[in-house]
Formats: sequence, C-alpha cells, structure tokens
Amino acid sequence: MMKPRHLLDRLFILSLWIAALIVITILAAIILYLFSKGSSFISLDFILDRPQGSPLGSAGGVMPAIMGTIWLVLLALLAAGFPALFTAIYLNEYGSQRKSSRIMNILLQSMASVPSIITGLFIYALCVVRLGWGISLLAGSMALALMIFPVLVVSIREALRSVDSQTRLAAAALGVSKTYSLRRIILPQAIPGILAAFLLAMGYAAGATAPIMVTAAAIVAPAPQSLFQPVMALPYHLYILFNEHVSMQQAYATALVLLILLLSINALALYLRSWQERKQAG
Amino acid sequence: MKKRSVISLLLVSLLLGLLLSGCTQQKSAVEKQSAEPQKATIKIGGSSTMAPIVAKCADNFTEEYKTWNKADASLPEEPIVIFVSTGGSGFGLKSAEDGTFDLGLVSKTLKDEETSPFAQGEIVQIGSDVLDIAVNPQNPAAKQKTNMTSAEIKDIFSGKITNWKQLDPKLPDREIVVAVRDIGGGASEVFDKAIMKGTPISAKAQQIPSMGALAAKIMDNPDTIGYVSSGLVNLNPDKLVPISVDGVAPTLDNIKSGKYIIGRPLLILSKDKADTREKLFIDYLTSEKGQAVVDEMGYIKAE
Amino acid sequence: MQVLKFKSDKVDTFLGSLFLVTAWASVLLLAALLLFLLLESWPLWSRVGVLSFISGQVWLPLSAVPQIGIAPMLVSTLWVAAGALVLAAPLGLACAAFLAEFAPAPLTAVMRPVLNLLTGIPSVVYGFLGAAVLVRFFEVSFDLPSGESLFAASLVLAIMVLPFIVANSEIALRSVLNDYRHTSLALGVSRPYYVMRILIPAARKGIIASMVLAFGRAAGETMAVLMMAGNTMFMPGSWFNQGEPLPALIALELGSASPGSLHYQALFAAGLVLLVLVILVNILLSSFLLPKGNEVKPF
Repeated sequence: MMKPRHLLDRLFILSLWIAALIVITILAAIILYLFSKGSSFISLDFILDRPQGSPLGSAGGVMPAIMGTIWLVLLALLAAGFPALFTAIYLNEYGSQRKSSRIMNILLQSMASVPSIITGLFIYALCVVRLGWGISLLAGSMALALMIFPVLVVSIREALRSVDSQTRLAAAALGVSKTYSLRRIILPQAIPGILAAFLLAMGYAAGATAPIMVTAAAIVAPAPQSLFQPVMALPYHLYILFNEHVSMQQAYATALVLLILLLSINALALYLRSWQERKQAG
Repeated sequence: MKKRSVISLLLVSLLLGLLLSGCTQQKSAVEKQSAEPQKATIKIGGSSTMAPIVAKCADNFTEEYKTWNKADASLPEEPIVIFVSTGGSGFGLKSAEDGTFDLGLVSKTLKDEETSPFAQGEIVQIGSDVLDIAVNPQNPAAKQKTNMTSAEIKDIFSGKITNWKQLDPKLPDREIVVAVRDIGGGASEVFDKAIMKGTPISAKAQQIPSMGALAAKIMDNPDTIGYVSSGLVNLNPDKLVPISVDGVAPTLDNIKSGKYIIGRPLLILSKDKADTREKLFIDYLTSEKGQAVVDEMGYIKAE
Repeated sequence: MQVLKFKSDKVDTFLGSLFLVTAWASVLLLAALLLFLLLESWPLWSRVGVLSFISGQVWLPLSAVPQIGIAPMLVSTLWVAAGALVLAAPLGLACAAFLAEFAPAPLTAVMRPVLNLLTGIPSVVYGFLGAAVLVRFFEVSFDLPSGESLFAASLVLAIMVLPFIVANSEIALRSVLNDYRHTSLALGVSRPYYVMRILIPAARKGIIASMVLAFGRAAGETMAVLMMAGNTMFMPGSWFNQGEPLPALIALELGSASPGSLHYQALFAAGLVLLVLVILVNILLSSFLLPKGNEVKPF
C-alpha cells in the first residue's frame, strides 16, 4: 500500500529536479549560443574601432556605442544616486514605522513597475520637446535615471536593512545622535551593499533600449562630447544592426559585448553583496 | 562631539554643493548652447531609407576633411561632427520643423502645407527612389506571377485577397503575409497615393519600423509581399524579386519616363537658410562623391 | 554640553528633513508623470471619450477622418503578458519549491546567484535572439506563414520573467514558519505532501504577488514584443495570431507623431492606459496581497 504513494513522491521530486534543470538549461543555452555565435567576431579592433562599411555598421567596431552607453549610465547614476540614497535612508532609518512610509512604499513599488517605454515617453515630451533639449545624451540619461531610481532605492534600503539592528539600538540607547550613528555605524557597514546597488542599477540602465530609443539614440554619432548631442548606445546599436539587416555577424558580436559587460557588472555587484552578508554574519 | 558635527555639516554642505553645481552646470550649458548661433555640429534625422545613405556620406565627409577649416577655410579648426538618426519621414519633417534636428530627411513628395514651414529654408533633392512591389525568390509568384495589376495589389494590401491561390490559381494555397511601413514612414504615404488611394491598409498587415527591416522581412519569409525601396532590391538581386505593376517593370528607363508609378524623391530639408556647415554637407551630398554613394546604395542619382 | 547636544540635534533635524523632502519629492515624480501624460493627452479624451478610445477597433490617427481605438493593442498586451505568465508560472514555482525544499545546499548556492545574474540580460538581447532564432524556427518547423506571433512574444517574455518568479516565490516559500515543517514531518507526512498541501498554500500570497509582478513586467516590456509580436493592428483571435502590444505601438509611432497633433495625443493616451493598468495591478498587489514590510523585490 505504501508503494504507489512512494512512487508518486519520487515522481514529484523528480519533476521538480527537471523543472530546475529546464530553467538552468534555457538560460545557459542562451548565453552559450551567444558566445558560440559572437565570440569569433570579437577582437580588440571590434571593440576599439568605430562603425564602418556600407551600409554603415557592417564592418568596423562599436567604440562610440560603448562610450555612449558609459556616459548615459554614469549621468543617470549621478542624477538618480543621491535622491535614491536619501530616500532609502529616510525609509529605513527615519520613517520605517510611520504610516506615510507605507504609502511611500506603495508609490515606490508602482514607480518600479512603470514600463520603461513610459519613462521614455515622459522624458521625450518633457525634455526633448517642451524643454527643447532635443534628442540628446542629457535627455536619455534623465529617462534612465527615472527608470533606475526605484530600483536603487529598494536595493539601497536592502543594504541598510541588513546592517545589524542591534548596533542601531545600542547606539540609540547610548544617546548617540542619529547623524553620528548613520555616518559612523550604519553607512560604513552598508557601503558594500550600497555599491552593489549602484552597480546593479548601472547594469539595468546599460541594457535598457526603450527609454533611449526616442530620447537619445542616433545610428551614427561619435563618442559623446556634449550633453546636448545624440549618442550611440550599445543596445540601440544592436537593435539597428539586426532590424535593418546591416550585418548579423556584427549584431551577434555586439550582443555578446553587451552581455559580457552586463554580466560582469552584475557579478561584481553580487560578489559585493554576498561579501557584506558574510561580513555581517561573521 | 563638536568637531564631528562640524565635519558632518561640512559633508552635507559639500553634498549639497555638488548637487547645486551639477544643476548650475547644466543650466550654463543650456545657455551656452542657445547663445551660440553657429553650432559646430550638424544633427540630421528622418527617413529610414535615406539614413544609411546620409550616414555613409557623413562618414566619408568626416574622414575626408576631419576638421571644418579643411572643408572651408573661413571656418574654425574644429572637428567635424555629424549625427544621423532614423525614425521615418514623418519624424524628419517634424523634427526639422521644430528644431530637434538641423536637417530633416524626407522620402516622399511633400504636400503644400508641409512645404510652407520651409519657405525660408532649403529643400534639396539628393536622389530618387522607386518602391518595388517585391516578393521572396522562393515564392512561386516570383516566377509565375511577375506582373500584377494595381487593382490586384490594392486588394492584397487592403486585405481583400488573403491567399496566394486566391490571387492566381497556379499559386500555392498559402496565406499572404503583407508587410508595410508604419504610418510614420514616407513609403506608406507614397504607396497610399499611388495604389491605395485612401483605402485603408488591412489591419492584418505587419507594421515594420524601417525600410531595411521591411526588406529583411521579405528576404526571410517566402510568403511575404511588400513595397521595398529600389535601392535595397538592387543591392540584394538574388534575395528580392520585383513585380511589374500594370505590365510596367520597375526599371530605370520606365522610372525616368514616368511609366512606373510608385516613385518618390529623396529630400533633405532645413527650416532656416542653411549655415555654412550645413551648406557644405548638402553640397557634398549633391556632389559627385555624394551621388556615387547614392548610386552605390542602389538609388537613382539626382538630375 | 547642553549647547553641543543642541547643535547635533539641529543637524539631526536638518538631515532628517532633508531626507524626508528628497524622499517625497522623488516619489511624487510618479504623480508628475501621471499628470503629465494626462495633460498631453487631454484634448483626445474630451474628443474621443474614454470608452470609445479603449473599445475602438480601428487605429487610423492620420487619415482624413481619424479613427482612434486601442482595443486590439490592449488585448494584445494582456494576451502576451498573460501568456507569458501561463508559460513561466508552473516552471518558476516548481523551480522555487525545488530550491527552497529539495535542492542540495551546494546546488542552491550555485543556482541562486546564477539566476540573479541572468536578470541582467537586457530585453533587447532576448528580443534579438528570439527574432533571429525562434521566429525562423517557428516558420520552418510549423510551416507558419509568419513566425512572429503573440505566442513567440509570450515565450520570450516567459524566459525573461522566469528568474523574477523563481526568486520572489522562493522568498515567499522560505518565509513560511519552520514550525510547520517540523510538525508535519514529525507527523510522518511526506515532503511532497508537505510542499503541496502546507508550504505552497501557506505562502500563496507571496507566490501570487510574484506572479502579478511578473505580469506587470511582461505587460510593460517593449523591445522583445516589438521584435517578436509581428505588429499588426488586428484584433488577435488566438495566441498564434500577430498583434501589437501597447509598448510596441508607442515605440513604433512616437518618433513620427508631431507634437500636439491628434496622433501625438493618442499615443500619450495609449501610454496613460498602459501606465494606469500597470499601477492598478501594483496597488491591488500592495493593498491586498502583501503583509506590511514584506515587499517583493521589483527587479
């Protein structure tokens, strides 16, 4: 009588193993496929050269796109970084018990769910059209800043939260001022986590295409020289290379460069995060 | 205690200062931008058909001269920087008008109300294009139905004829995939004027964001029909097969004589009188070197 | 000492209010965004009307007699997102249960960061691979006239949201009290029975929340659907039809709509509909599904 029950249990566990295996296989397959298709076209020249050939982009490299992406991401981080840090500190250290912070949480959650094309639409109408910035680096980085802001807040708050609350209580009990305990106790401990949050947000911004499509991207532009000029960006360059049928080889190579860039940023972020966790635990 | 609070105050004011200086820097950059009438750069955007041509010309132009003073001695020694964006003729028209771009690219015949904002500026034709009705070479129609009447084409694109067999009994019993440019494209308007004459395009037609992508769609899919720039057909002779319309093949002669009906000019526009730099580049486009690129990309040179 | 205390109190108050003001100002950007979209699309609402805008079947904003309706795009959006969820939910939940209950510790230690890492693959890469590989595959192996379809888009979106579902569901499963497990196992209940009958029901709120969040993400995704869904303005009748979800519509046409025109307003109205849809989903999520202080990680 036990047997069929036992068999079913085994089957159940087996199916879970299979599900996990499928998930990992799909995702690993994607990465391996990109590597196998793209790696033979990547060379130092490809990374350092500008797009060439006819139609433009069918030969040469992606340097201006890499520079464009780096500038877009750094400016976005600059614009969103401090407000996000302040908001996270407020949420975690000051207002965590208040009712207003629950509302703020809901708003933040809603903000995080705003589709990236909507941030693009908003910035396009506000900055590109109304403020007359034109299709520009600045407008694009504003769109990205708006997109990464909630993500930053949530992960910085996560980093602050993981600081042992014992120390916080002890500091308060000793009558240490809030500013002091923030500066001397909480922030230093949370620094790796906060850095990780910044890195994650950078990765998120570097891969986003929809927000910059209408606000910043050009198919040909040199590496950025001014805030008010359009720029090339890696994800948009990939979209153009593929969609305009410029060159599949170049598209695979560009996709791989983008992927390697993002995966290494993410890996670094995860490493920092786990390092902080281990330090806290130990 | 005192020292520390002073330090933290300093820190905060530094933070604030950074923020503020960030803001003012942005502001001063805005002022600089608007105070400078002669921009050292040219921003160009619009028609997805023209963007690759102009991008290639811009690249050649930049490579040839590097700095503006080499192109024209009266200009300062600044590096030449030209931006090319895509987005469609509608986008080119609109952004040349509102100043988002210095020069707009438009690949369609302009209506009167569309030319009026450019009365003070320039409208220069750098070449011509023809829309070929094209199919994939693997499609039996490429051999057996090399001519279609404009009524047939209209029925296909409006969704009245949905199957190849319905079009011609010799053809296979397969669904016709209709590919069109989205409503921002110049081609969609040209096609509407020449063939559809106001009849709406079928809702089942796939909207494709650029001419290059539309050609790619036909090259990839044997059941697709669409209108493609002659340039792309000429560049891919074994991947795209043009169909005659009302017995007229889209050949250079038929186009020049006006027998083939779906043609359009390739225009570059500026809202105000072109400044020296813009003039230089427009002249380059219409020069022999620029026209060679137009020809090389498969389009018809300007007269 | 009294004086010093007073000073640092002042700094405290100052910093506290600085944080407060920044926090509210930033978060209220959301309201500004909503208001702005409403403002830009306002003339359209009064001209066309909310109901006929949402239920209208024809999108011809540039013709002589403009007709503006987004029903086919709205249906495509919902269909694509719901489809992605149908594909990803069972797999994601199974994977989460596996990680939370059955996986050997070293395997979990590898899988979790790998899954986390994969959330970093951008949507344009997924869209590119989908369009380059999947579309062709569908055309060849199912002999379809056109490989782009809502299904193809759902499939790619499903892969995109999978890591999020796994991560959030696993958090939900792990937050169930350990007492349940000890009691059940002590009573001789088998682990599969415990997972199916006790663990998952106990964590259902968090699990549903992770699904709803994934739905919202899928509905707002642009690049993958733009490249995979086929972009037809036709009311989809099956999963294997083509369609043009709202984000794709906006991305495709925004560039060519001249500011202030009916077309421009219509695109902002479409954006507003999409935004309201996604935010409503979130507010439902926050007010009904989630216990206080237990937010799902949005990315």
